[in-house]
Amino acid sequence: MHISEGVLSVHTLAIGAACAVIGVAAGLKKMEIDKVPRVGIVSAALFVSSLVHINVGPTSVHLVLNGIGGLLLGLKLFPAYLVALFLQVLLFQFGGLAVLGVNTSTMALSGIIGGYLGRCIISSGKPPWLGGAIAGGVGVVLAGVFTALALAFSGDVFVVTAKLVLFAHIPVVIIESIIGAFVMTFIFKAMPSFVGECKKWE
Amino acid sequence: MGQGGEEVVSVINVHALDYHDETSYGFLRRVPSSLKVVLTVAVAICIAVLNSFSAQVFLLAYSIFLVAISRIPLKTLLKRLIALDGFVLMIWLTLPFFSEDGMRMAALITIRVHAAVLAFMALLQTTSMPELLQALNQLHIPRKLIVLLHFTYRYVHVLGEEALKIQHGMILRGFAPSLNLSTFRTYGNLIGMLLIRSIMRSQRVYDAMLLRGFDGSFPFSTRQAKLSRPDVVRIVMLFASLMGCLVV
Repeated sequence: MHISEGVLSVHTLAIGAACAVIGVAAGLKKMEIDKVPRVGIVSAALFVSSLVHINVGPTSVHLVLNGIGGLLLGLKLFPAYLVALFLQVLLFQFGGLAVLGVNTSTMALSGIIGGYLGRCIISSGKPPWLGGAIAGGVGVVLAGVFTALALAFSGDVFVVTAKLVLFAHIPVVIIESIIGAFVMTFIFKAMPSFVGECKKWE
Repeated sequence: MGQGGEEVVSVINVHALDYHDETSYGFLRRVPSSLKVVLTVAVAICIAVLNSFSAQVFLLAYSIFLVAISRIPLKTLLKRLIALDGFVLMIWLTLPFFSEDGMRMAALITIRVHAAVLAFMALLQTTSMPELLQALNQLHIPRKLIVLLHFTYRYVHVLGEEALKIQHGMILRGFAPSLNLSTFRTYGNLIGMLLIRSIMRSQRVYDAMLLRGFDGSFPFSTRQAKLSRPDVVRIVMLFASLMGCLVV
């Protein structure tokens, strides 16, 4: 899902890092120190959930859940992703230190946009499953587009790879929107106070 | 756990959530962790910025040297590298066929990926989480970000266990994953449950912290190993030899 170390060109890495710095700074500004435990624990839950793998034919995809993350955390998804992706490098050697900025930007920005759309849908009185599906689906679509753009921007060599990345995202988008719909349905059934809860965090 | 039947339905892979190796007390364990973080970042930048083959080969050799003195067990090392080489294989299967320059690019990427991962492992797997948090604090990373890292790392373990419990319940009730809507509903419920429990737990944790007088400060570890003179010389040499990548 995210890009490995050693692939992107220096200027792509620099742009990604600059975006990440701005995003993380904005997210940290929104997050008072007393909200940090909350964001950390929810982001840990998302981290664990993204270890769920679903077998599709011979391969398995694992969940991304950046849209659901955006729905729950809003702008605070930026620092949450920076930390989660750093932990991924530490624990599984996925990604790397130099691409941390690019990966944080692609995943967090797409998740925030998807989550924002999902929140708008839910707070306008539409059923929660729709909001979850939109958040999950849009989050992954945009993550795929941003990742492909970062690859294509790094040189003509990667244009084919970028297209492959886009195609590989199609099954993930479908799975992610279905899962997102079920997650939000469950949360609203088990914890109807949820929307108010989210607003309180802002 | 560990029985054949269970492996088949295992939904979540919560193993390998620990990174820190209890390796023997080698030289890299004695290097102050803030210096290790600085060196990790420096190596990553050099790998990303330099474009010549010779510089990259030098950096790979440097990383292999770091791993060699890190005393990380060979088994751990190979396990990590095998996971990585799936990606490298994909690069070799695509790049050379779609571009004239592809062969050279694929080789360069292979060297870079391995150099970056080996250096990262050697320097940070010999650093425990409290040491890492302390180092980030010394390097003036925003406090909120460090506390966030602490909480996420801590609760990844707690919630991983919680996820295992839910998973056991699912298996006992006869859950068998396949590619259909009811499987997706089950996964959705699993994740929803995990999120709700995390939200409620965060409330309890925060209340407990308030009762104990939490005011936003964080007790960083202040443990600092004493450096002997030969160790200081070794550290200087470690940094100096990285400069070699600029001249080759």
